[in-house]
Amino acid sequence: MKILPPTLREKKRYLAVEIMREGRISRERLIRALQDSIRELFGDTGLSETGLRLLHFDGNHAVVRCTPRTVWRTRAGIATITEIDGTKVSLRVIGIGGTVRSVMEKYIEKRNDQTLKREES
Amino acid sequence: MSLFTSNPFYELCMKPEAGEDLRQMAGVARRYGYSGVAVPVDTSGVEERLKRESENLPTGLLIARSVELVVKNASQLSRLLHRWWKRSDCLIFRGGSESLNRLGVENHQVDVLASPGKINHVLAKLASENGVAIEFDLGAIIHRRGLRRSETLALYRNNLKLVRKYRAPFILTTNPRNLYDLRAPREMAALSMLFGMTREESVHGLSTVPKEILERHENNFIAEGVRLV
Repeated sequence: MKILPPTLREKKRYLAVEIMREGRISRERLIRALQDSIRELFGDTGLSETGLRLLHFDGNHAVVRCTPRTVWRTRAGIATITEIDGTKVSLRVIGIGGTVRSVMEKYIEKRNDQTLKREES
Repeated sequence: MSLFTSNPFYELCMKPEAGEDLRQMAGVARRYGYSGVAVPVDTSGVEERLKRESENLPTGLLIARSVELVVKNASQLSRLLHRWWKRSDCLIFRGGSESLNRLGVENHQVDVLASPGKINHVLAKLASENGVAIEFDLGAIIHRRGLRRSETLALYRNNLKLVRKYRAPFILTTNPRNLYDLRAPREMAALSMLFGMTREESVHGLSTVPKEILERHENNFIAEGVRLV
C-alpha cells in the first residue's frame, strides 16, 4: 500500500513536559493520568480530538503529542494533575515544537545536560 | 516576545504550610517565571521565618508581605486595616457571604476580595470603583473533580462576565500551600480558559493587577496615578 501523503496527515504539536514529583511514577501511570484528566475536563469527544500520545518519558521529563488546535486543552489537562498513584506530582509544559527531535534538543537534552553539570560541580 | 515572556508575573496568595519550606516554594516560583510572590505575615510565624531565611531565599524574586483579613463586621475591618495597611504589601479580605463581600468591596484599602463565591452586579460595580480585585481561585479547579468542579467553573463564568462588564480588577491564584500546588503562568492561562477567559485577560490578572496592588503600598504612593518624585 502507498504511504499516506504528508498533506493528508494530521498536524501535530509536541509538548515538552517537566515533571516535579515526590516519588517514582511509571510511564503507563502517567499516560493514564493524562488521559483521565483531559477526559474529566473535556469528555470523550474532547480527548479524541487531542490525538494524545506519550513519546518520551525519563522520569523527570516527557514529550506529549497533540494536535495544534488542542494545545491549550492539553495544557489545562496537564495542569489539573495533582497526583499519580498516590504520589504528589505537578506537571508543567516547558516548550512546544513541531517535531519530536526539536523539542528533545531544545528543551529536554539541554536541561538534562545542565543537571548533569550541576551534579558534577 | 509573547505575552508570557514580556510581563512580570505575581502569585499573591502563597500560603506555605507550617512544615512546608518557604525557600523551596520561592525557588520553584522563580523557576516557573514569577517575578514576585506574597506570603501572609500575620499567621504561622512566617514573618520570623522570612527574617531567618532571608539569606537563603532565591535572588531575583520579590517576596511581598500579605495579610489575610478575616473579620465579621466593619469595625473589626477598620481596626485591621489601620494596623496593617502600612506594614504589608497586599491586603487580602476573605469574603463569602453577601454582606461580607459588600464590606470588602466598599473599602478602597482592601486590595483583594478572596473566595467571594457568586458575585453580583452591585459588588462588581463597587469593586471596580474602589479598585478591589476579585480573586479567581484556580486551585479549586485543580483540586475539585466532577460536579463540584463544574459548579465552580459555572460560578467563575458568572463572575468573569460581571468583572468584564464593570471593568473590575481581578487576580488569578492557585492559593498554593506546597510546591506541588504552584502552576506556571501559561498553565494558569490554560486553566482560566476553561471558564472562558482570554489569554490577554489572564495576563492582566497575573501581571498588571497584582503589580498595581504592590505598587500601591510603596511609600511614595499617594493616589491612583499620583506619585511622589
